[in-house]
Amino acid sequence: MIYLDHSASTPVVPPVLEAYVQAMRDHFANPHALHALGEAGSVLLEAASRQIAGLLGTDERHVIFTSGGTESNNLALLGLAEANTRYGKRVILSAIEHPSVLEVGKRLVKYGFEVVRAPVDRTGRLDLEAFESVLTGDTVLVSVMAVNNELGSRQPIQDIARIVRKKTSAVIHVDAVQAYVVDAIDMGVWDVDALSLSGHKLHAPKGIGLLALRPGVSLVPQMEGGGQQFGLRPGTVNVPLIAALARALRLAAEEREAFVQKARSWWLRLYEGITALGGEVLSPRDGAPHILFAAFPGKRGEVLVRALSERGVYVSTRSACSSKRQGPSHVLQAMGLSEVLATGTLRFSMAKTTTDEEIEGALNALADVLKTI
Amino acid sequence: MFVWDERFYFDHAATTPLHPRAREAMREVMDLPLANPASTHAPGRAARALLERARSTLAELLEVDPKTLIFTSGATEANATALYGALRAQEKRRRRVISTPIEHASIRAHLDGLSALGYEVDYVDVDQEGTVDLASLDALLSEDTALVVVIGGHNELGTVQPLRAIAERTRRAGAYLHVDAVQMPASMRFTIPEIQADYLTLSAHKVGGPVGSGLLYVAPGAPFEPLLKGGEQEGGRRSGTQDVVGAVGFAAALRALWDELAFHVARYHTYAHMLIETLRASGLNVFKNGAKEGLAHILNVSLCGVPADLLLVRLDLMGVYLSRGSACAAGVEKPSEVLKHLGLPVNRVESAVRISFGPSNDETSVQEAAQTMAQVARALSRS
Repeated sequence: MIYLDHSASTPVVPPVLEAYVQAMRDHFANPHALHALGEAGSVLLEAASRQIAGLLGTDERHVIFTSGGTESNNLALLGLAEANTRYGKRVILSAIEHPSVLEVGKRLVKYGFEVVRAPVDRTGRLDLEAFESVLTGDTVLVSVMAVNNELGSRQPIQDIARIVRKKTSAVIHVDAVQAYVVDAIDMGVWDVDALSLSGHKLHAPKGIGLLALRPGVSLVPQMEGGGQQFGLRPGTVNVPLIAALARALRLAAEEREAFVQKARSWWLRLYEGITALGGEVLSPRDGAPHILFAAFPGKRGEVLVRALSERGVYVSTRSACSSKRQGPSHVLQAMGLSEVLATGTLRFSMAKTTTDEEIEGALNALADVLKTI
Repeated sequence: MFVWDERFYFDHAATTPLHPRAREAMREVMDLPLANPASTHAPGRAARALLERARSTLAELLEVDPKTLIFTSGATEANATALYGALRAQEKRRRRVISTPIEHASIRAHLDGLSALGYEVDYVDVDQEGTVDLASLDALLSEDTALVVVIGGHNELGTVQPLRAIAERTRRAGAYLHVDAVQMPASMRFTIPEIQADYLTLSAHKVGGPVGSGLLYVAPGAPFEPLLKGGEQEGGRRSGTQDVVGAVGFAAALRALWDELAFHVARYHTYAHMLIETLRASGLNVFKNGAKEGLAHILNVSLCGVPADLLLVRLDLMGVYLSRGSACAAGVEKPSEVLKHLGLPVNRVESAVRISFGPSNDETSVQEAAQTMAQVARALSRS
């Protein structure tokens, strides 16, 4: 099997699985129970928070664990917008955000916020001039993804932060779900206030994510309950999955440099191979090296995916989170690539478990498929 | 690593150890490379098949259509989703909510916030055992009532509500019923059709499954709007990539627990009897709180004259683990608000502890724990 759909989900790697199983065995007690068992769980929880805070450049009391990237993004948008209305009610999102941001944007409109989608250029990069012109003083929240999940385009987060700080008191949220495995993240250096991550995009299990905040940032919780996690995200804290997430984040940070190098060579190899087969790579060269998005004129994406899958090669047409959705990709539309909308597209995404053989195998299968279809 | 004896863990209402069959089922799935269950390729479909098999197992146990079950990150999210979803979808027509004064924190805090949003929340009367007074419910139900919210089996008292009667009354008024059923499966095998709830919440880690997996049942046709938005997983009713391993563990745990339930429940009755007898025999003044015929795994007792906080700390040091009430009051052991509300005398409220049994307890450990408890309690009542 050749699996190149890691932007949809990654396999759990053995050391992470080990952390998960061990914590599940040893720390089942409710970490909020006051007996000694609960306390042992809470010690593990604090250690995980401390480690993760260190990896992200924030404070350990500002790491909030959630059920995944979607919940983190929902919580960030609703919670940050609601907490900061004293300056106004304008929210700016990039036009190519994940549905868990854009859909919540629609809800914010219902709540009386003015939600503006800032345009991107043909490489999926935020148009900074246009961004600055919609960034008015009454903006309370800006949400931009660090790496786009369909194309791998990177946003100039530090430039964006500089502009926001200069003109407004808005808080900045970054969806870094696809970025963490390739980009070192320091919320202080990036100068951002909130950051979403998802476990299963970096070899931890599904069902765990986090929202990291910088100290001093206020957030209104979106669920009610037992006051866990400083009251910001109630619900019994999932100690085993948090232990797994902490291990996965640490591993990814340690292996980042090596992974980026490997991914870059795979990216270039795919670029070369796909171009030779008549495909057009739409991902920008300065984008994240583990995501490559390409168009195949005259072909249908679903047909290509099915034919590849019959040959044991698993890729997607685009985001798994949009696979249920009818209609064209909002990302391509926002990039002004409407001519591509009618044509077939494929997304190849790599992880540290990927091998050179998989890349070659995928290209061979693709050549075969393009010939027969 | 902190080493302790599971047999002396009497806090199963807070969380349960993973059932061996749940662990096995999870282990099998965990060792597979799991794709995103929303992906359309073969590995994605395989992950989806595992998720749907778990959903079908739960649906079969609860006797509902699998499409009515939504996986969430736990009961707190399921409760939040039910309240948000049911009320948002009816906001133009009905804006009154009826609940009980003894709900779990995840409901209570939500209800407290509703008045700011222009809702009116009324609370039914409950008797000293925590049972809903149906006449009081009848008096409160009106054509503006959107939702009735009831904790089906109480987490501190074990009291089980007359859910069928509540459901019938609610339906007659044209309103919908949400049941927080989190504690019920640990002592009762039930089906959703027999309860007739429109929304119902369950949690995996209260039935021997993993923390981080919950379930919300939404009846076909019940008004609903999603709380979490995004990739439209779970039929558009709950966005976010599903925790496949958690769902698999949840289904395996509930099936395993319910296979053995009659055996466990009979033992819980014996344990409760043993405990009360041992405590009484040592000369302590013991009151059982909650309904006589409640959830068998929850025993709430007041040892009058014995401060519960000191009792728990000493027992903890001696390796016997229990609590005062809900762990969801997040790290604070204060006298129970629920017991206070029932109008019990102060000395009964301040001396109340909750002992909650599970499959890991046995007669020997319960007997030993009872003796330890009696000993510590007597020492404390003298001081």
